[in-house]
Amino acid sequence: MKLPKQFCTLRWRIFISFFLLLLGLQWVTLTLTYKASRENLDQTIRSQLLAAQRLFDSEWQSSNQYLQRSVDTIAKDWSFREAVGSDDPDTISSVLLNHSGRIAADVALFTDLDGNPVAQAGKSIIALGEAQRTLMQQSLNSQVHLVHSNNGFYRLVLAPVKLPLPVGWVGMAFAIDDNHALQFKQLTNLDTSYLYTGGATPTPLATTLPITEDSSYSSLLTSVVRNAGTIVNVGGSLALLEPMPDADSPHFQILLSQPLEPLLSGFRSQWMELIVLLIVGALLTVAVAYFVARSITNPVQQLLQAIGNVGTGNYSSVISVTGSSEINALSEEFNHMQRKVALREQEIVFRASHDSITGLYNQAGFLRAVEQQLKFYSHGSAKADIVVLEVKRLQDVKHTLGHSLGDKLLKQISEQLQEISTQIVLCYLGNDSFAAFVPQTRQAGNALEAMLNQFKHPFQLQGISILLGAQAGVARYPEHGDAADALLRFAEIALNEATEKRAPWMLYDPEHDSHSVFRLALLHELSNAIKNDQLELHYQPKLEIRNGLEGARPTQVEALVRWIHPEHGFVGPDQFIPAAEQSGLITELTEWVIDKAIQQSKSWQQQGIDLKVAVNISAADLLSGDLTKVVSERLQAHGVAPARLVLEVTESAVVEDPEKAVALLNRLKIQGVGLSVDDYGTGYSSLAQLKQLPVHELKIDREFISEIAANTSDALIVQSTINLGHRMGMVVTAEGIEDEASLKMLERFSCDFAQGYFISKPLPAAQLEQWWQEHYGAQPVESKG
Amino acid sequence: MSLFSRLYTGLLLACFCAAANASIDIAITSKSGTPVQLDQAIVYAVAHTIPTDSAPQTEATIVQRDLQFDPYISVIQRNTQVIFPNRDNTSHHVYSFSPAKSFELPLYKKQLPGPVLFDKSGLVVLGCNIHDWMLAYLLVVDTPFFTQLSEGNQQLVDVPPGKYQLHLWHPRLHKKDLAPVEVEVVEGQPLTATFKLTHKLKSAFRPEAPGQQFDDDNY
Repeated sequence: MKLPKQFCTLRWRIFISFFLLLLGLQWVTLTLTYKASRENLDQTIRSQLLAAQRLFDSEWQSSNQYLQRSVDTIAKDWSFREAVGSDDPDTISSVLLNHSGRIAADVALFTDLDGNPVAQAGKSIIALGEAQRTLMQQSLNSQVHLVHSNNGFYRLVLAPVKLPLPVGWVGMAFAIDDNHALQFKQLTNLDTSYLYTGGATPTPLATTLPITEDSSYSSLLTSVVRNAGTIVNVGGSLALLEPMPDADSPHFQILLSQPLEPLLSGFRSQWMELIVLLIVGALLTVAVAYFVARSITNPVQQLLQAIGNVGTGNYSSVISVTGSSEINALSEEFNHMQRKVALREQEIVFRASHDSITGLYNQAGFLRAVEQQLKFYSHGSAKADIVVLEVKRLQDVKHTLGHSLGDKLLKQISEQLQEISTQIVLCYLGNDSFAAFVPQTRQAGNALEAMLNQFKHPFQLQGISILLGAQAGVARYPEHGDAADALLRFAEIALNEATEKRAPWMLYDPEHDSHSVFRLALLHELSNAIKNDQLELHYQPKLEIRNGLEGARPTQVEALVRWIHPEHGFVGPDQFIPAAEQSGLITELTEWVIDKAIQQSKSWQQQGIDLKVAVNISAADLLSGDLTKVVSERLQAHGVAPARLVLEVTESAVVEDPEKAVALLNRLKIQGVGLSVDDYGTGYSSLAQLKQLPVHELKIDREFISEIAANTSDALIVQSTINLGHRMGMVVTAEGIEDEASLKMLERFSCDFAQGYFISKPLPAAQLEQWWQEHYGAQPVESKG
Repeated sequence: MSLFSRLYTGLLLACFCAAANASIDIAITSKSGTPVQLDQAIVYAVAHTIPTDSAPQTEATIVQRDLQFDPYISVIQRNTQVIFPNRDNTSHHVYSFSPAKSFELPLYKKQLPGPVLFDKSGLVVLGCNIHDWMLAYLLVVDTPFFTQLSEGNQQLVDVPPGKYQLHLWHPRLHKKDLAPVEVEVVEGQPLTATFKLTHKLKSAFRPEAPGQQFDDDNY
């Protein structure tokens, strides 16, 4: 059996041991006391029985003597003798009656010397048996016999009658009846029975016991007869059977018995008192045991508590116990150990949170320290910068001068950084990066500037003068976030930005952070949005102006995806397209857009609205390879001619894998799909590449168009690009037209298509249809391909 | 019958006997033939022929002395008067319930009650009502020929010739040994009568007086 855990504690063990010991002792005490008391009771009853038996004997003898004397007196009474001498039975009877009345005998009789009855008086007739007759003939002394009569059991006292020679016997018989037994019982308090055991079964002659049919009495009789002369315990009684004194037949027996029950019940009530006493004692002892156990285990509990504290890293609990010297010693030793462990842990913690070369925080330590610092800030309005500093050329130095000198240099750098301000928390991130937590306080001053300045001068190392450089990225608390690790990451992103832009430092701009959490969430939701048709396509018309503005008509639209987010509302493509590109979700998006655009084109065709639809394709779409399949499937599904679809590709998309991209574009061209170079003029605009692209349209980036009217150089670029496009056999489209002047100028430059807010902003399909009907609906439509 | 005439008759008989009377030697033996000494045993002869209504010659006396009857055993001829003088300092109450003579002499001390006439033959057992142990046997015989044996007297003397029933009586004798012996007294011929006891002697019923010891064998 397994004890519940709580009972395995020392306290419980001590307590339970005490308790069990006590229980055992009490049990033994009780048992012994009970046994002793029980034996004592038994012994008492036994001695009572024996005493009663002796008492009975002596009572019997003395009453015998008394009766014998009485009967003797009668035998010698002159008038009695005279009556006997008269030899007249009637006279003798009457004198017998008279004398029996005097001594309260139940029966009186007169016999001759041989025991033959001569005269009788009394309520019963007593016949003398052979045994009595023999005794009477043998002796002329007065004698006592126990005799049966027709209606009872009698003590017959006989005295010889002498005139003066013996002539006969006068006998007085006294009933030995229930009353006699009762008198003896009153004397001894013992149940008294007179038995005749000469028969097959013992016959009770007189008794104080209730004789019932119930077998207990007869079994008692049988049992005592078997064990005559000894005390037996039968049926809840102790009983002793002895022959009656003076009985001429050994079958007359006296049975003394004492039922145990009444005595036991008295004994039991005493016993209950004793038990109550013992229980009270037990409770007291248990209480004492409890306190003793507690006094021993309390210090141990304290120790346990303290050890538990140590386990959770709290080394400040000092134990002071008042108890035995062992426990005292233990607690002192424990305190000592605790101090040492605390020291060792400090060291380990320091090592875990600090860089071994520079002695500055490592990243983990830094984050913890900043986190702690920010916790203070969270209640106030304090601000702070997280700066990530990249030391330039450090790796080169290391490779050139070796690691040990590199480490020395690193040390020197960190020392100098530390000198800037005590309020700055510095960290060596590894390789050539440092991080700093700069509170925006007066003391901290322009710490960033100071840090960057450190690198404007060469470092002196073993006589070598080494010029390093540095760039920094900065993230601001609480502006950019309130988590240390996020801020550090933002600062790193800003650093990347700075590196890209070759700026000395950059402040984090969430717009540029493709990794922002918001975007990540959007990405997830975008996937759902595509599936659930939360996206919709807006269409911006392209006005065909190559034949002059007069009569110019829109012949194409560019499909632009719009996302009306259920929570955030309108989400710009700038926000989710780059994320979709990075996550690969763009293919799915593109497929969706292509499908919708083709569907819409079909719908317009059926309505008599003749518009080609252009769809933007990203780099990922070009590399996935399925695009041709998707396009042909969708066209086929909706029953639209390939020529009604235009795919717009940026140059930068082609750059990643030009061969593959060109091959795909070629296949698309063969399919009959229109192809267009988007955002031409920004990014990687390479004429060499343009030459290879199988496109038929060139779209000049809005950057050049928006200020075409005001900026002559822009106008020049646009004009020459249009010429270039035309020379290469492409049609040219200008995007971002925002005023009439620009449109007119483009017309002059022989631009083929114009697109922009001045003409129409991107419109949902229904609005576009309306717009189209308003401006061009009445006129007959002429398709221009 | 006056005291005188009784004395006279006795004298005559004595004279008559002196001439021709004979003595009978009495022998008592046990069953095995050994002689038995029975002190104070009474031997009397009842003649077949001689009339027995002769007047007694004497007056007998049984005294009470030292809280005992004295003699213990005595024999008288019928019609003898017996006086019971009290020699003790206490009173006595002499009685008898015997069929031969039932009488009582209520408490008396110095005053001698009158003599008691025993006019029937038979055994009279005497007792004292106030001293239970006092006992005396008085045998009243209907013959003048009787004697009490003692160590020096084993004879019944002066018996005239003739046929007699010779009786032996003692309280210790068994009833069956009380049967008389037939004898014939012949003048000049010595005669020995032998009582052969078929039963053992009883121990005589003689209660002990307080403070006194009796040896039954002395009687």
